[in-house]
Amino acid sequence: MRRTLLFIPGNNAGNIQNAGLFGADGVIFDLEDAVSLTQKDSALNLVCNALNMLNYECEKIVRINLDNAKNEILALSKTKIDSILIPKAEDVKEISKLIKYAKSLKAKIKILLLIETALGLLNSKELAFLKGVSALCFGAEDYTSQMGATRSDDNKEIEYARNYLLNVCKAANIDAIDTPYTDTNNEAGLIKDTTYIKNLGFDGKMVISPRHIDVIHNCFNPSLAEIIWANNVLEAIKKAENKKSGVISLNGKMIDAPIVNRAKNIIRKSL
Amino acid sequence: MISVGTTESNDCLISVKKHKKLEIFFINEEENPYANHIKKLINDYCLDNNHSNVFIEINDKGALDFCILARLKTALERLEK
Repeated sequence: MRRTLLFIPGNNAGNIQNAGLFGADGVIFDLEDAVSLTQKDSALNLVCNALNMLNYECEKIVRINLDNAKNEILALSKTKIDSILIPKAEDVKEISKLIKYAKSLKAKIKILLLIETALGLLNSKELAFLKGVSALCFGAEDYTSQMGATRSDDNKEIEYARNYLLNVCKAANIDAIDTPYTDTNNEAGLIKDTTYIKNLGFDGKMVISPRHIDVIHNCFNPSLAEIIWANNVLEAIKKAENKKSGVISLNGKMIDAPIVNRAKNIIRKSL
Repeated sequence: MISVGTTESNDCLISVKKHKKLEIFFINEEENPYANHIKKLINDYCLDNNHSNVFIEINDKGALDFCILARLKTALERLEK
């Protein structure tokens, strides 16, 4: 489950020490944008030691630097890391080589790709199908910057990218993770944005503030009405199967395979 | 002197320079209840990794072992370059 993936600056000892306490489904230790060029070595050593010496009860992800990817993957492969987040994923051959390299060092490592450029989005339909990729994450700030778009409250400028990336992820049967909500003081805006992307079909959202975690989890958790509806659907299916009835309905509405799958998903998410 | 880390809470600042022997200087040692533990941690790391000619100064601000060892490793790596 990846409802929330919390970014933690890779050279901040206090934040790293407390990263597991906020209840996010995953933490992303950031060696890239959150670390200055002169402190990359220091951050890598700090994150590696944290992964080996501290206990985190969530998915442990590290965002690496594309220009030093092999060295960082080598160092991280010797730790208790779960996943690597590769930023600015664009070139299919380059990413494929990196994934193979990572898998050769640590077979069980999962790969998440950050799609944050126009070319990355264009190539995402190939990137998503690379063996070992378990999620595509959308980075709206870099994407809109490259597009020359202006960020707005209604997010119209990222609608195409969100929907395209989501479609690719569903086709490849991997997780689709949305861009962080960057206004840390606008809870109503966060709820609106999260509800919108949840209803589109996204599996989760990257997070830059621990305060956003519970809000996003509440948005992703099925409501009581949804759980009751899902239980009723599964009960109706069971009854129909017992009666060997071919046509199944609930409150006058026909129940078919997509409805059953939706009900099962709701029950799975509610557990 | 090469310095790595910060003086922010939960971190430490470790400074190193080449020296005739291994020597560890702990800033405000008498005020830190973990000073002996940290000095032993640093000493053991240096012995295990053959760093016997280095002067190490530590300014601890409540860092855990993972952080102290990471800052020390980085400082020694930079000193070697």
